[in-house]
Amino acid sequence: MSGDSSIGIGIGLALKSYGRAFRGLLDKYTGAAAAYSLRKLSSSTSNVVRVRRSSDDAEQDFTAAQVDNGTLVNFANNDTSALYGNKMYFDGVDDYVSVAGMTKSVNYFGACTMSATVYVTDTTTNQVVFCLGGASYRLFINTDGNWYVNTSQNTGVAATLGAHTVSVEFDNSGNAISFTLDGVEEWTGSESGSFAETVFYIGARDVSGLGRFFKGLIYDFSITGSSVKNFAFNGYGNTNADWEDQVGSNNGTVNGSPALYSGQGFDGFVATEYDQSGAVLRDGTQSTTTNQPQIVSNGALVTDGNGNVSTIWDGVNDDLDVVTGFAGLTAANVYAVTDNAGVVTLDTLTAQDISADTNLTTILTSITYDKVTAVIIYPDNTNQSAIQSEINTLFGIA
Amino acid sequence: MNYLILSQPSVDYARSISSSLWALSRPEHVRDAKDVSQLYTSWLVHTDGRVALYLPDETKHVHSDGDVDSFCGLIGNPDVTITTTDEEGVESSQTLPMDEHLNTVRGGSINPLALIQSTAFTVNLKTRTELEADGWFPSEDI
Repeated sequence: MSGDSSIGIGIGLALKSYGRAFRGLLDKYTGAAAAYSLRKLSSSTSNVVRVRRSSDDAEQDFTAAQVDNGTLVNFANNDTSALYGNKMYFDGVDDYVSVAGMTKSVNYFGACTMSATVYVTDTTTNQVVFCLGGASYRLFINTDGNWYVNTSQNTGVAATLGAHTVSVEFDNSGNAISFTLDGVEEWTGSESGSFAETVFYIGARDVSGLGRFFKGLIYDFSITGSSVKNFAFNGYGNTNADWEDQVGSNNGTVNGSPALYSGQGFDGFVATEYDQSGAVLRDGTQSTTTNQPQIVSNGALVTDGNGNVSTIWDGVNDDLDVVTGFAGLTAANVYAVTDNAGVVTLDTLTAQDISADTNLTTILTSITYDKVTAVIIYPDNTNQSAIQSEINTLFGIA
Repeated sequence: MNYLILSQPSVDYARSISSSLWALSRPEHVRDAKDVSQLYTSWLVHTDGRVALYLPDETKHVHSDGDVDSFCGLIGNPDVTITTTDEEGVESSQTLPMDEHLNTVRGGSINPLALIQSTAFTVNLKTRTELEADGWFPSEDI
């Protein structure tokens, strides 16, 4: 009997593993002229969207599953999803970490090495990684895009976007004598410090007031080799507990209102929304970057008021062009799922003349919206009420 | 929103500048055959023939192998003035040809609008409000 039982379980598992074949809206109601959605609408659909990320303008295709499972977001944020929720985001406005109890001296620490891991998101503004007071024991990015040390020494090394390990070596007089980037010593020389104060800063400096705030991530900071004071912070969060000294009792204090890192500054835009109808290739594309609708904003997928993955259209010049147009189609039923101020609706544009329309904003011109979730076009009103009902269910529209 | 009124009233010229701005971040050897994006920004054409390029206030990546020469060549490689402020609040400026500046920021970022503002072309930058007043957005007859 045990043999029969195992066979039964085996068949059951096999059936379960196959499951039911996917049958989407476009399979149930065939004949669509075009269909754009970040959900899979047809069993034959593969990629639903091609996305350009703002960090380096690279593009990549994504399936509906990859839109939902974090693959798209990880692409848009330059593969930094692993840092989400466990690093402090320095906002470049008022976030920094302070360590009190130093002495106001440009050579206070004596000879030492200061190191950190940084994620650079901007090289156009003046941003301090660390310093004692204003310009001692300091590393910063200047407005010319180069790394500088102490008072004003240009290392001649361009700051580049992304994650880097940085390290500055100082001598007994507090002079910066070498700068190491990603494990390679890039500069040597001697640059004195100035404007020392009694507070050590990470992510800012103080010269008659705080400023030059860092924009990005700083963590794994350490001072080593000092005969006066060494300290080290993990910086794996945005509370004081995350900036407790790992080698002594020089704890850091978090200032400002830093958020945990969640992809701030990383955006993704729609280069192509693929036509899922499969009838005639009518992909919606946009080759001009400033006209591309946005699908990832500050590291998070754009969603409409019902929680569907959606796209932001700026109302100025954002659009998707249907390169092949709708030639041969003089009128159509257009089902548009859009969001206006958080209210998601399905508008059915009956018998709309789209013969001359080659872009989606023209097709949707009678609708007020700031986000577009789906546009599905049928050549006529066959099964109109059933299609409307299916779309309402699919996108959670009451 | 800011627009640069181009010295050459030509859509082809606008397209070339937009394309070369795009090439700063996407040199040919990193492009994929399926890449859709080709132009950085859009442009407007006035009824009198003038052409204005839209310049958003945002930072843009400059690839380590970005084609600096094409962009700078198209706009005549103007001098740019980079201003830094020391810790005593004293500003110091460095003026250098744009291609030299862009070569130093490879791998980093630029703000194309700020870049133009740092050149003599800043007098040709106009806001959308100014363009509206100048008839760049004629109202549609209803």
